[in-house]
Amino acid sequence: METPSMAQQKALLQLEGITKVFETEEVETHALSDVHFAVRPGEWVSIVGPSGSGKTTLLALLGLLDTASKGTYLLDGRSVLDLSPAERALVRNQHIGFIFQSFNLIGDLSVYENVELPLTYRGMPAEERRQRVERALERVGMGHRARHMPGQLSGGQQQRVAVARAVAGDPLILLADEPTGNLDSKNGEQVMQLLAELHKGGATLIMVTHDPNQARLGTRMVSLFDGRVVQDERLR
Amino acid sequence: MDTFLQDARFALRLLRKSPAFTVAAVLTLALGIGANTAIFSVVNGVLLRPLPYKAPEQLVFIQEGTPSFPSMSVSIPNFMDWRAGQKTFTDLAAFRTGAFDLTGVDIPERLGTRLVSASLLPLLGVNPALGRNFLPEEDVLGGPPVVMLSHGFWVRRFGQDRNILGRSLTLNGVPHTVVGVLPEGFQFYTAQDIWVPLARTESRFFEQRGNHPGMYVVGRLKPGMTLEQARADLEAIGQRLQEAYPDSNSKVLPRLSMLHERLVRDLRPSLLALMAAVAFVLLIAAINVVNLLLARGTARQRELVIRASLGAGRGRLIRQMLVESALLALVGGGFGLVLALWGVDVLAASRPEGIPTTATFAVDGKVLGFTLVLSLGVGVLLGILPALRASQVSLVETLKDTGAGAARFRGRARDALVVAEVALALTLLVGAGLLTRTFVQLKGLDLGFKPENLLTLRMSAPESRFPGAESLRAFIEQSRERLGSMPGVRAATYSNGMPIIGFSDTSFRISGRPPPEKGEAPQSVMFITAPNYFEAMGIPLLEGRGFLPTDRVGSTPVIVVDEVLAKRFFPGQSALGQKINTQGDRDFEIVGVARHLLAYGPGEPEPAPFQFYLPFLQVPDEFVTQVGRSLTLAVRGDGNADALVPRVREEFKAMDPDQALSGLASMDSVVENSLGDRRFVLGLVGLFAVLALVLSTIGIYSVMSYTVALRTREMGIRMALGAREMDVVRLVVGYGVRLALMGVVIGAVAAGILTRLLDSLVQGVGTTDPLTFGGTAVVLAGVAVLASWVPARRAVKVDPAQTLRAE
Ligand SMILES: Nc1ncnc2c1ncn2[C@@H]1O[C@H](COP(=O)(O)OP(=O)(O)OP(=O)(O)O)[C@@H](O)[C@H]1O
Ligand SMILES: [Mg+2]
Repeated sequence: METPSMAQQKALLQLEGITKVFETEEVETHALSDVHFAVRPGEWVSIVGPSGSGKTTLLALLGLLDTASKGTYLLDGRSVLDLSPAERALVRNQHIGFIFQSFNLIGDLSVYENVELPLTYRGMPAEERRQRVERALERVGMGHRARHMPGQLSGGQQQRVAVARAVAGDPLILLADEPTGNLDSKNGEQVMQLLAELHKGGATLIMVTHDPNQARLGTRMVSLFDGRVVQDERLR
Repeated sequence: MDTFLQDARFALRLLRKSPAFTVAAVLTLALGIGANTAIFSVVNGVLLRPLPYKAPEQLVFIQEGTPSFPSMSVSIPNFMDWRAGQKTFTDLAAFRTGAFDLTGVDIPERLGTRLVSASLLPLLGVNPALGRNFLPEEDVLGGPPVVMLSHGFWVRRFGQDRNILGRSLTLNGVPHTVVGVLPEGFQFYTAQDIWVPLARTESRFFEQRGNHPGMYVVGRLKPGMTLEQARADLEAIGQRLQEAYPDSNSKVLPRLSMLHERLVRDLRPSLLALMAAVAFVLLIAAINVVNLLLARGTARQRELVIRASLGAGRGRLIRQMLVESALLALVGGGFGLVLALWGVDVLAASRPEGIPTTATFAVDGKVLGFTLVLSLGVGVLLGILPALRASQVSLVETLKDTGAGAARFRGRARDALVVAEVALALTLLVGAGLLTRTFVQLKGLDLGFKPENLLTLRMSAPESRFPGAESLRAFIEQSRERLGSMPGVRAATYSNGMPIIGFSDTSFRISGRPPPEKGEAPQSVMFITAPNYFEAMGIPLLEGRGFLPTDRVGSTPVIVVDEVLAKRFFPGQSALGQKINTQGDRDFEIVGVARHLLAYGPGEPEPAPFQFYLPFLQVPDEFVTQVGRSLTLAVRGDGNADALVPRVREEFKAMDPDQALSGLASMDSVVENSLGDRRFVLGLVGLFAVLALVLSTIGIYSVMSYTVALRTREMGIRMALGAREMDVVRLVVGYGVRLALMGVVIGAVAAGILTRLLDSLVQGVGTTDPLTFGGTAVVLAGVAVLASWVPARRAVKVDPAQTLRAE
């Protein structure tokens, strides 16, 4: 349960009454119903729940990949639900880092170029981009692989590059959807360790996972069931 | 700029990575863009490039006309009065075509001659390459006889001898002094061997205001003057001349148009049709490439979604897709330019006579610009669909493992592209079909005479060598008899003109009927012929007789009219025994009615709709020399007419070594040439239609293959559930045919509208000819069946069990 002192601290992101309804031909699916949820800087939130409970949907909303049917979403104190697609792209680019289950590196770009991509979209000068990319790759231990193409890397290495890409732009918040779902346990552990280091360095993390052990690495665990938050537990 | 370079580099990398796709796309685009560039170079050369004269935008073409004969040449006295009275031109110049016999040399020759006023060269801003232009005092009746040589003739006949100036050439028996040589590459209407002053025209043309001797006028507008002001100026003079000379000038007014406009007037519809045809080819090519782009499939889409999730905005993604497709199109355009360079050479080599000599086909800056703009345009066109797709996909896809989100949109887009492709191909094929039908029909038309194995040649028997009418008549008749009795020759005949090659026309009226209004007299083609003309030419006589040896000076003047004249003026009765009044108020009795000839060539308009024939031997003495100055002979052999050429030359040499001959050509080739413009357009439109058919076949085939590949699973499941091979094939083919039929229907509607633009090129068949439309639809439906049948066969080869296991 939340303590009063924490509630007074300013939330980095805040969802209120978020509802997401998918309307298909025959049925309406309430993927999320009336979700209230706030994350403060430096938190590491694990989101858990059975399949179909709305975890991915929630993450998509948080990452501005999708829009809610109802409710408000404040990111860094600013309402982001009624932004135009172009403004949403800008927010994603500057404030959000994604780590995907399937890595989602672009196969035709080198490791270096993949990490550089969001910085390019930001219009950052070439020299600053170079420094940032190199620093990010060093951070995940992939500096020596900068010229490789993603196809030449193992799954774990690819995911580390993806992490580098997510953090290179110093986002407000990192979002990860089952970041180890496509990895064997050893590689998965390495990636989790990387996330732990990032968290120690001050990063704010929201991570969907099926693995209870991984979930316990976070500072807080939010359980979803049928599109509702059924438990919100502070771990540390 | 930075990101633009990144986009470009990435695009290049993609192209290098899938060479099969790149080669297919680049070749397809090269074909489309190359064909467009080649045709545009023709359009540019003919319609857009300014004439190769000084300030060509000031040059005006002037002729005369009446309400019923809008296109007449200019009478010399009228021209003189315009020139004296006009205020809107810096100057006027007149020109006509003639033929002068060059004699007193080893091989006498009949020279193509341009007769011009001395003002023409300065007006065009052209200086002779050697020597000087005609002087004003040489440009008056009775002035000293002088001649300028065309560069080609100077090279051919005198080996570029620079001492030619001052030499004397005997032309039509009169010594002419060479005063100049025209520049190389100078073109003004058809190329001629020599130029002489207009004053070398027979003097009667300077006196008879009612005579319009094939002369035309160009003028240079004073700076700031418009065509309208010039027209008002000359028409005012024309009105005054109408009042002053009601006999000759009733209803006659000058007609002005810009020179360039006038030169290209007849070509415009053909060229626009070609541009349209070739644009269709490009559209089809572009559609094929879009298909290829879409078929590159989900991998690409996933990449775009990832980019979007990393913060690439919509504009950013669209720009990236556009950079990629523009790059593809530019590479295609580059190869297309190479194709076009070759194509332009081919086009230049096969240019028909109807294209003005001033037009050159070449790849110049404007053509390069066109290619660049076209390539970029195609690039944008290609990029639109993928870009749209990029901006429509759901970003949540990144969080899922499959990229199947937009499959339905892509499928529908592909279908639409096939439909569009079929519709475009159908429209083009219908156009080509209509032109082909027209051409075949024109080729099959009865000319009214038999052109087979007929050699024609021009000769003149000038006064200088045959003083007195009798000696001239005797020489001409002797020529006919000697040629006619050569072995292997069936008949020889002569006339002052020949169908298709050239002839004169004249006005007439029916004797005993009220004369028509001045300037409204009916015009007839007139042939003054040998007695055996009808038999020798194979012109059927429908009624009465042809000419007899007894139709001579002194006997009743006779005339043979054509069926059109007979029907128009003597409907429901026989024309025989009636009289025609022509040739300066003389009466001729109609003794025969002949089949109407396609005198102007198949499919050509007939400014003089009637035709009649007069016997040469009945021409009064005072006119014989004038007729004898230009005669055309026709010799019909047993076999190929060209084989007769050396023997005919020999025969003439034996008769008179000073006799100049020219224009030796088989009538078959003359008829062929008269269809040259049409063959040129038809050949190209046909080529493009075939190209369109091939490209759209490839398009349908690749889309069907792709669709079948996507549906392999479905096919396997269907077959596992008991579908027979036939059912699967029918499913696929049915799908392809449904798309094709949709395209056919849309294409037929579009073609029905667009072929109206071909109106001026299509004859003897309606622009909605059901045979052409039906045939084309069947061809395209057949192609669609084939193009979907092949992938369908492949689909049923799949082992259903295999398909199910590949979960
Ligand atoms: N595009 C969509 N259209 C319709 N329904 C959808 C769509 N996306 C998700 N849903 C539905 O919304 C609900 C939540 O889905 P979501 O993907 O968020 O579940 P999840 O918790 O991530 O499950 P998993 O653990 O299996 O990944 C499900 O019932 C799903 O069927
Ligand atoms: Mg999920």
